Amino acid sequence: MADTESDIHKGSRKRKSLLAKLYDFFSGYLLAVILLTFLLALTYFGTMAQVELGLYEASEKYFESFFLTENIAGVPVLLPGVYLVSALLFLNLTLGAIVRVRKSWRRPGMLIAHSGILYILFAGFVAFHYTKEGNMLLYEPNGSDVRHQSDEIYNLTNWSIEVTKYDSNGKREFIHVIGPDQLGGDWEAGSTRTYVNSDIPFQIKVSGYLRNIANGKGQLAGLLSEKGAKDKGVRIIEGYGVEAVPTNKSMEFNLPATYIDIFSRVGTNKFDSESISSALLIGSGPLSPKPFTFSDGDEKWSVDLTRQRYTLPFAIELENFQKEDHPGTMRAREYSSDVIKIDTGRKVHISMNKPMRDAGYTLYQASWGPEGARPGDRLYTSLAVSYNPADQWPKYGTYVIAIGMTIHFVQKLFSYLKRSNRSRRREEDSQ
Amino acid sequence: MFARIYSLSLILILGLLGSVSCDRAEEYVEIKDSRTPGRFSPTPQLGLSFKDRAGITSSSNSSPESSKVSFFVKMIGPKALIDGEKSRFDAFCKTLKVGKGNPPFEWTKPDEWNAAEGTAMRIANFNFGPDKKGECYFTVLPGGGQLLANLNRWRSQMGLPDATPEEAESLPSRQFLFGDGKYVEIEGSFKGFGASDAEDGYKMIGIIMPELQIGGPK
Repeated sequence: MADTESDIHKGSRKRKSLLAKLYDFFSGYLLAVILLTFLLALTYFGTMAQVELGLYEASEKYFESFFLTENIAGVPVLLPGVYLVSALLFLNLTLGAIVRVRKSWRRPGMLIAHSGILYILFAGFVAFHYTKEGNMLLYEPNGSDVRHQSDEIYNLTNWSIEVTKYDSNGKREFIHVIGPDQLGGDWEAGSTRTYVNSDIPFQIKVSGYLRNIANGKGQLAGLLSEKGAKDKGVRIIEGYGVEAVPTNKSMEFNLPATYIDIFSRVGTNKFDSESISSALLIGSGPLSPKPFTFSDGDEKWSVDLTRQRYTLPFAIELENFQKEDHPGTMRAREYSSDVIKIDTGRKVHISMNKPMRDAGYTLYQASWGPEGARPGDRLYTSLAVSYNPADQWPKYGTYVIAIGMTIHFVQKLFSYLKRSNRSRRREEDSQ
Repeated sequence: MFARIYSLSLILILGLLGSVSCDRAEEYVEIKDSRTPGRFSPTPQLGLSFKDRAGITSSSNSSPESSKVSFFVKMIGPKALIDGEKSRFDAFCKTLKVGKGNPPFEWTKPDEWNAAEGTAMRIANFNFGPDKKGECYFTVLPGGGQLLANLNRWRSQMGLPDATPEEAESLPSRQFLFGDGKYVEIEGSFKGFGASDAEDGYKMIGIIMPELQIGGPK
């Protein structure tokens, strides 16, 4: 009889379709164990790599990637990145702990707890894709200079190319942005990327993109004179060429450079084969933009390689910046900023651990400058600005998990107590 | 088991194929993002040449964000100790030169000094003497300020009043790195960073080479 049942089971297993097997695999414990093991290993590798690569590069390689290669005992091994592992874990949890699991209102704890984990994973996805982060520099008010007002932030580590159209008065009309996701990734030697948009009457061919040409002191170590560039076979524009310099561990010190060629549109999807303009672009500073300018017909355009910028839905004005030094030194002990939200007149005092929150944005007191300023020098405040729609979600997810686990363990406790009572009664009855 | 391995391999291969573009050399990308210019954003300077855009003067290769660099070497400690170490300070300064590496400087450490860990500011960092009370370090700062500002910064560390521009200019010159720096020798009560009290009988010697436009592109 047992043999017959076994044969039946074998038969049913053989009859399972590939889809059913895939479903079993993706909703099973085996995949969960594999993924959690990968997460453990990647967290270890990613943490250790920060010593060698720095925070941002290690984070990019291990935590934001689909795949990566890791040298384990001298052998390069292809591993899934945390992004892919997290996505698979989300799928695995959804199928295994929500869809496939036997659901019963008498045992809701685990279902709630797993929903909380899924919520946190989803929060990570939203934060990764939709967070905007940057800094805003506001100088102390000084006469007619308007640098104490701003409605733009710039990211310290991400770079973008901004293509701007100007009106006949030289005023900016619109800015098209080639973002870090379109500009980043691997730039193999000789590779080019051509950027197009139906609203732009030309295409921009970007070639020889270098992530860094500066050393840690802000000097253009990778800038080559005409002779140096010729000797190295590097393209020369306006008497200069560029070569890569090893990236700094602190990503904010990296300064990218690239060559661009502009090709006019001659049809809906056709472009001239001869470029109308070419330039060598070097990453520009946030306070005094100096873009490459050219004309296409009657229109004036500019292209700028710049730290990624965002325009905020509101503007801020610095009313007063206070700094208190350690006694006898020029080292700041405490600093804070009194700011005004220009459109509404709302006044806020921003200091350490006391950020300003408005329209989904959070403005923290980050630093001040310029470094080494003497008494009487005009100072600026640097506010770190963050917009993360999922800012509070991990906290809520943790509450959900805690509620689920509490329900589960309380139920377990009651059922244990019930069983104990029952067995005690049985023992008393038997006596 | 075989089916599971087969399924997993299939997914991995498909994933790999999906991540590898057919033609890496030439790629076309649609520009999707846009933004309106901020009302208070700085007005861009248009029509500039590459040199002006990059902030390159005829004799500099600094970045537009920091076109000048200042160099400092400083030795500080109890007066008697510093007087005894002067010859080693001179010897160290003579060995200091531009070299390979990042930051691109080389030097020879006097045998009697201890190498301390460098910091973001201190490229070469040493201590010496009883209780390691003597210090010597070499600093490079983007920008870095004028001679008078730096001299007065040092003087304030020694509890001395500010010098006048004439006094700063009249400081003796000393061959240092790329050219002549200004040699400083002052005595006073030194108050280090974070210290609550000043220590009397201290001496500071050093060379300031302020806001140097360093050479053209290599």
